[in-house]
Amino acid sequence: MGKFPMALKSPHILQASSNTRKMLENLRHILDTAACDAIQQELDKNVKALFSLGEEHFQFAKQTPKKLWRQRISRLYYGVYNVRRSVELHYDGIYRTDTSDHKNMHNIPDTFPNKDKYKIQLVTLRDDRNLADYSHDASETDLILTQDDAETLVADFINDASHFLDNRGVKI
Amino acid sequence: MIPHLTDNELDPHTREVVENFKTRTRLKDVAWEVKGRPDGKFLLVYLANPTERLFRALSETLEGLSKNNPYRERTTLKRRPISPRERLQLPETQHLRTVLSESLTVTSHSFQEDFFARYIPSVFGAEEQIIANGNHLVYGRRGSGKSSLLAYLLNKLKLDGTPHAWIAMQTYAGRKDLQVIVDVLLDIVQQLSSSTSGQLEIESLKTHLNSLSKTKRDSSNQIGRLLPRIRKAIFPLAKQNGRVVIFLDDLHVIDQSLQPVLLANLYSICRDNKVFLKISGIEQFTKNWDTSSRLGLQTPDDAQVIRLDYNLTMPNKSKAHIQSILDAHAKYCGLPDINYICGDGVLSRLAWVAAGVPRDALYIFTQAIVRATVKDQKKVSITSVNEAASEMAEEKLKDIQKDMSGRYDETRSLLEKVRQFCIRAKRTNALLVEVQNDNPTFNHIKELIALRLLHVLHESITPHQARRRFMALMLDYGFYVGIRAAKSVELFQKEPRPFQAKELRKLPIFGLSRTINEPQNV
Repeated sequence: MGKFPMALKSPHILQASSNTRKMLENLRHILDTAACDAIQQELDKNVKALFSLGEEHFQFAKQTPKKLWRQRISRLYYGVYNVRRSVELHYDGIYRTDTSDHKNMHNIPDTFPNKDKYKIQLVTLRDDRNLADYSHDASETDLILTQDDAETLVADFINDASHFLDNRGVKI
Repeated sequence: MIPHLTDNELDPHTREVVENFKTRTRLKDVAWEVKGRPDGKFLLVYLANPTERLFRALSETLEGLSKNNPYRERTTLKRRPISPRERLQLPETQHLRTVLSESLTVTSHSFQEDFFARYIPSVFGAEEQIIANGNHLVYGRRGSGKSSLLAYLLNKLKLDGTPHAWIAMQTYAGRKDLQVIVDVLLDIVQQLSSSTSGQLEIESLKTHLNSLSKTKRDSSNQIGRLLPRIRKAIFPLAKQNGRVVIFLDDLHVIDQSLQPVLLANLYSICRDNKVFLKISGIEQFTKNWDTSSRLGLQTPDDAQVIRLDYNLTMPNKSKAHIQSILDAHAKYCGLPDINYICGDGVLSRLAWVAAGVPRDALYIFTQAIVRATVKDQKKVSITSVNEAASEMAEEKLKDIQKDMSGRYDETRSLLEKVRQFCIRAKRTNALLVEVQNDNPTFNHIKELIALRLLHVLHESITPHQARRRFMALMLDYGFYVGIRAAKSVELFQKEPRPFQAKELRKLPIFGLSRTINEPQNV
């Protein structure tokens, strides 16, 4: 199982546990409120940073000329990929560093708006990105989601994720 | 590549996806395409508007596929790449026909888990009123949304587990015997017993009421003795859950003499007992309080009235409401909105021919789809709406017999006179009638309004003298439209919009001076 090249260096809050949400729950009976709040704030900071990373990819994709379809699809995917990771970190307390994380694109919280659309469409965008990045004999017409479809999907997901996190106390 | 609409070329894996998806969505057919690309095949299912509900159906479909199906993670829904011209032939439109037909009669079981996705709030927020703790009488003409409003609260109660009983009064239509009260009480106790886990007193009451319902003797005394026991037995349930709600749907169908008696008996169980009555009926045929016997529910002290039906007094709002209901059903079926399958002017004409009554609009529109499909039209046309409205008028005439036992001939006779006045004499579809509440003919006019044969444009205007008030009415479209609106009849407005007083003042006056059995002075 491969690791991301930019794995986190200790000390780091996300290195403290494989599930930071459970970790905090189990520390609440030991630490006082101020200490727990400090941990929560550090976690929220990471959620926001992951979200911003996704937004940056999205902004880059939007500025990229349409003729560079491979780059656009790739950046659109990384936009949605990182925003989904920020949601997962906040909701489930999970931050993964292995490359198999791309197989978790269907993992969307039950209470997330339009959950079923994203469960299917994010996986489709992942397959389109694999095609764009690795398939030398593919052409743009092979995409399942057109560039416009993909851009709308990612914009909608970022918007829904922003509201979702906002409603749960994480102001993006 | 042109999407498939037949099963001829389905390989087993594709068939598994497509058939399961069709079963879950109840679509008779779907357009699909297998797209080959360097990394393998991908299955695309095409719909006019893939909504979250349809993605959920696909998600459930994919989760249930056999392990070796290559489309488990390689299927998606897509909007049709080219907007089809023959929109009435789409499976989504065919499904809409089915869904609209199913929604014509709202019962306690309507829409099930999709209820809130498909429910459209009333024009003036009656939902906030009906959910309140209190007794309510919901009034409106047939099809105005009375049962839907009750079902809205019912579904809320189901969600939070509040005990309730739903009595469809149609079961007792036309009856005036006291046994109806026994049977209604038995039905209520039986339905509430499911929430009491075999409470002894409830079980005993069921047995007692059961034997009373089988007796042929006068049971009024026994009913009176049972009421305090029922009241006491329900109270713990109401206290534990915050309240108990009893629904009586279509109270007006039982004999008017029995209505206040039944209400008085039920009120004695409910009052100050955390038990609330939610009752629907047609106002003109409902007697909630009997002045002479002082029995029933007095408004507003004992129960508050919620009126749903504003006739055509706000035609622009009626049109918007009907359109939002049709939009909700269209989206449910995978269409972008209802305009997607409508030709120019169809929704405006629909608002007029249905006279703002949602169920009439759904019925007429369903029939219009059928007629337009048969004629190979690309979209629903005004012509098909006209034809359906004409047919609907015949159905409404049958309602006279259903809702007005014994007074059929008088009402039909007056209707005929109004029809002659509008179509033959004045050649217009709108008229004025003086408000004379003690005039029997005026009361028959009100009955024709209740039967949706006349529709109110304005409740009270004073066109000539300050002391004489008139009601502005419109004769139902069904009497003068066939394939097209009769050219000899001038239609009052075409596009629904707020009226101007001067438009109404110009309308011809239908005289009430003579009894309805004599010729009218037209």
